[in-house]
Amino acid sequence: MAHLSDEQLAALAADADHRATPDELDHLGSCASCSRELGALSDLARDARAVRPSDLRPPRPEVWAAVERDLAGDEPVAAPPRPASSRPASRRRGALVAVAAVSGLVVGVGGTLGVLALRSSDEPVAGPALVASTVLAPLPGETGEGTAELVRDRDTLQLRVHATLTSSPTRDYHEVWLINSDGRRMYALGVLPSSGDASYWLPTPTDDRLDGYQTVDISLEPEDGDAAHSQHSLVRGRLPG
Amino acid sequence: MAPRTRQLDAEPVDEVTTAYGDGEPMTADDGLARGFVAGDRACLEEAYRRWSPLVHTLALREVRTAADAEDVTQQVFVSAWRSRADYAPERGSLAGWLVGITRHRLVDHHRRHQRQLRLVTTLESEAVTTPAEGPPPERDLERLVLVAEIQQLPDPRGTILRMAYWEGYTYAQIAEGLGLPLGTVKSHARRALLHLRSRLKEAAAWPT
Repeated sequence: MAHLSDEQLAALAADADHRATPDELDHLGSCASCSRELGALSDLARDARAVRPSDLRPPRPEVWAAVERDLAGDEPVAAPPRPASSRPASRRRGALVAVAAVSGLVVGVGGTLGVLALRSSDEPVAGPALVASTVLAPLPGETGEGTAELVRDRDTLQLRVHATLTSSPTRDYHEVWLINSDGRRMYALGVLPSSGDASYWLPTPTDDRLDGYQTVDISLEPEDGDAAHSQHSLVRGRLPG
Repeated sequence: MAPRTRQLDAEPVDEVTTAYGDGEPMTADDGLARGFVAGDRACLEEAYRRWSPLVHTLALREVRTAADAEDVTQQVFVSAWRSRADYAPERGSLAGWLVGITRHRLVDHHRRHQRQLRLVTTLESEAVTTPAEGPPPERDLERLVLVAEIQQLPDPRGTILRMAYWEGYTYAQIAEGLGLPLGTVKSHARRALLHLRSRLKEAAAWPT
């Protein structure tokens, strides 16, 4: 008979109730490579049962704060659009197309955020200064809450997001967007880690050809390789300006 | 917007088998690695969330104080971020790259520690060298990587594996508890094991 499939080997290794068929037993008796693979998978299953989460010691939260402090002076980088996957993209929705170029964000954020930022740049500030903030409220039928703060630190702008969202049991993930008040243009800032806390750096705005990226939106995105907004928004808030 | 209730997907078994495997188009991990290289700060946070426990645990085993282990962890992520242009996702996982940086940092740490000892001591330098421990045995690293990978398995796979392996539930009890067909639960458990195998194979190839 042919070599055992990964599925067959994993079933024999991972499931005590699973009995090998006579054919499988026959083959294992005569095939060194299949019995070696089965042995390796059984060892792995045994190891996986033996380890415990407590084997790992996460660092205290202060360590992440120290990393952020170290990197605070570095040249900020805007979150690039998510790379398209090699999977065929699902049907794109015509109404909402993510602004694809980072320069779009630089310019696009320029209008709203630029004006806000200039207001607070008259007097020098020692540390980060809050420029604007908004509460993120759930859309009808959705749950979740959060805040988004636009912070100016020397010559950079940062959007700090703190959100509590129902975690998705599937492979879907959360993504943070800026939506233009024209209701059509939007920019993907990046994936929101499951902690719900993230900072996104916005380059210093230089001009105001595009205006109105004021709505902060967090969406639930399926792993479908489509970089466009899923149109499944969970929470939103509007930065005053 | 219609309310969506979210439950564990009761997907048919034959679809489950397509979820992982060699030559998968794009996983969340690929996206994370590429986003990291491209300078997406959210990806740095996510990488830190996923891998700082492993980096910190490796450091704790080799340095003398908790503060030193925290310093090393901080240095690893700052250095990884600043040198992200040197990392090529197609050549290996982000985790492997971070572990490599951890090893370099630990070697640096030991060298500095030795120098400090020599500066403060009035004895001959040979007399006060504390033997620097080598890297932890590979078996040990493998075990720690395994814990980190199990904790990162996507649901429902992760929940199923942790219930079966760590909490001692039978597959039948898990199926009942999660409201999934028994065949689906077993299929997820098999795929999870195969996924862990491919992750550990990758980890075995990390440079030491």
